[in-house]
Amino acid sequence: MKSTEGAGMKKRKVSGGGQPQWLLLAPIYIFTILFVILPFLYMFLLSVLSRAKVWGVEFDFTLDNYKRILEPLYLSTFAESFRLAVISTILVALIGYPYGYFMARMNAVWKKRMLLLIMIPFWTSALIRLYGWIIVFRSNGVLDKFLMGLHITAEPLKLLYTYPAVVVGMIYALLPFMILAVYSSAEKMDWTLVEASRDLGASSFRAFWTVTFKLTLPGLLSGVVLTFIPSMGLFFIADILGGNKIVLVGSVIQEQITKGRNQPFAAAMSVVLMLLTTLMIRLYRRITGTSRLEGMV
Amino acid sequence: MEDQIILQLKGIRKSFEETSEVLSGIELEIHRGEFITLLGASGCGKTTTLRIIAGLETPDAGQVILEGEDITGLEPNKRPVNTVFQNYALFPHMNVAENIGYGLKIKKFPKSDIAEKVKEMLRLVQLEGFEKRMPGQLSGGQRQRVAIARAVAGQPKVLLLDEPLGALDLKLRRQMQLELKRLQKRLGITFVYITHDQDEAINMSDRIAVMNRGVLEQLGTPNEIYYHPRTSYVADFVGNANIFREEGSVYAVRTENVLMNGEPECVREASVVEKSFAGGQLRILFRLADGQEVTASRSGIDADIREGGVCRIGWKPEHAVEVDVPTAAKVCAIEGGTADGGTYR
Repeated sequence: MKSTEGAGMKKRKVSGGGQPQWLLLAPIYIFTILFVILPFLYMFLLSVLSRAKVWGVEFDFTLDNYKRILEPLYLSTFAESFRLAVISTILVALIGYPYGYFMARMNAVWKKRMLLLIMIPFWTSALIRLYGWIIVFRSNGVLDKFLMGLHITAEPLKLLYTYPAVVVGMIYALLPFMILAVYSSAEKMDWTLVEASRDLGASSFRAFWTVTFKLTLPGLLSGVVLTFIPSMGLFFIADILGGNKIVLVGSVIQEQITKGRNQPFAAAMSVVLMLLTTLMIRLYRRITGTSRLEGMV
Repeated sequence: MEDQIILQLKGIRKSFEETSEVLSGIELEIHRGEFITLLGASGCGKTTTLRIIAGLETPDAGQVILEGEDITGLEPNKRPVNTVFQNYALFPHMNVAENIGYGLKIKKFPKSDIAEKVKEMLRLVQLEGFEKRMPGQLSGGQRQRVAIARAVAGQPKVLLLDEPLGALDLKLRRQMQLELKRLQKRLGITFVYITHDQDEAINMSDRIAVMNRGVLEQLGTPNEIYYHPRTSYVADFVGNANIFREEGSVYAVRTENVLMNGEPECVREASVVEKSFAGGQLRILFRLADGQEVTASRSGIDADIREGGVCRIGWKPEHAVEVDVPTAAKVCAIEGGTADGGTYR
């Protein structure tokens, strides 16, 4: 009985549309092949070739580029990038989740206002905004003047070109993505579920934890993905706000291309960076069990 | 008599921002173990009343008293009252067993007890073997059953049901009406049921509270409500009645009690405006000489009456029920009118 039902449904799916399914999906495949798979293959190919004497690459197969990453200098760069990405992502999640959550609970007028507040910074170049942070952080800058004026601190904090300055810059750059991701899933929340939970005896905290948080977890996850991936590669924030003290993989890759003219090594580092990021995301999904929740709300 | 009353609403008032008063002084006493229905059109305040009992809404004035204890300010999780929500509100990330066991888990019941209770509840709503299904994989009727099972699993003192059958098709609704009634008898829990469907209310309830614009119009058994409506609103809303205003009094005559041609009571001349047939009933709209419109209903198709024709209509004096009696005279009217009396406030 069941099997015949299944077969009938399958048949309908194929013949029902009038056109074969692959034709409808073709644009997505073409897009993915052109802009995702081909560039990746190109980069992977580059990473197993050798650097030419003057410029470009030689078609000379080698794994030396990958071997070189294992040198302590580069390994520590990877570790440093990884540490900064994890710290930034955690802080961004801690700030962005409540923001997105409360925004979803506001009325329509305030939702628009809050969205506008997030959007306004995007009207200016990210680089210019980062230079704005220099004015804030530098010795006797806006922040110092403010704190000293309130007599909270006695002398300049000398925050510019320190680790905290870089972290603040990262949070500033990535926070909107987290907020929007959390907001979009909290917006879809059916709040009567929270009422049902309270009705069945849950305290407001318990109701939040067992219902709201679980149902907005997919949003938090995409926020984490949207934050973690760029923060592994964002090098200009560390360059501008961290001076030359904090060297991230992104900077090294960029330097290898522009100054070192070693495209194969840069490609190898990029491949490793991508694999590392993918691995982290998969691990995170496994731990939080969010793969089960996806596509459900 | 006193300990028969499980839940009491005293002078409940509620208004929301920018709207007029939703509830203007609701007084209601609910008896232990009864099936009481709040009946009214949408916007009459019945859902707000229910939410106030559940604790999901706070009244501006008045008290909610459960078994003699004032619970007006108590949070919803502290009340021994559970709700079956209109859209069921099943947790989509939990399977059927987790949904039903949710309240018990929060109350820290041991795991084995929860599993046993869930099984018992599933048997009660005839969904054995559905433990591992997710709500998204269930039909509307099945979700409905899970929602009921979840709400009664914690053995609440009062079960609130907010139009629980509204989303189901007619046939399933009929079936669920019977099942709910049977369930209520078996569990012995007090049911406070909300509906805008008069048939449903009459079918299931021990008593009906008819609400209109934030006011309780009448409270009584289905019989009282149907045969002795106290106000023109009740007469019109429960069953269909013609309302007449004559010599300062208002009368209600049910459509099925309007007689046509031949009977001795047919003393009024009327023209036939419209004839329609629906739900096994023929409805005829007449217009009297003074312009008043009168609807009559009959079972079956009556071929004698033609649109545009003239005919004589009337009704027996005992079928004309006086409604909207001014307050002073009301008491006598009620005492004369109710069979088992004493249930009105």
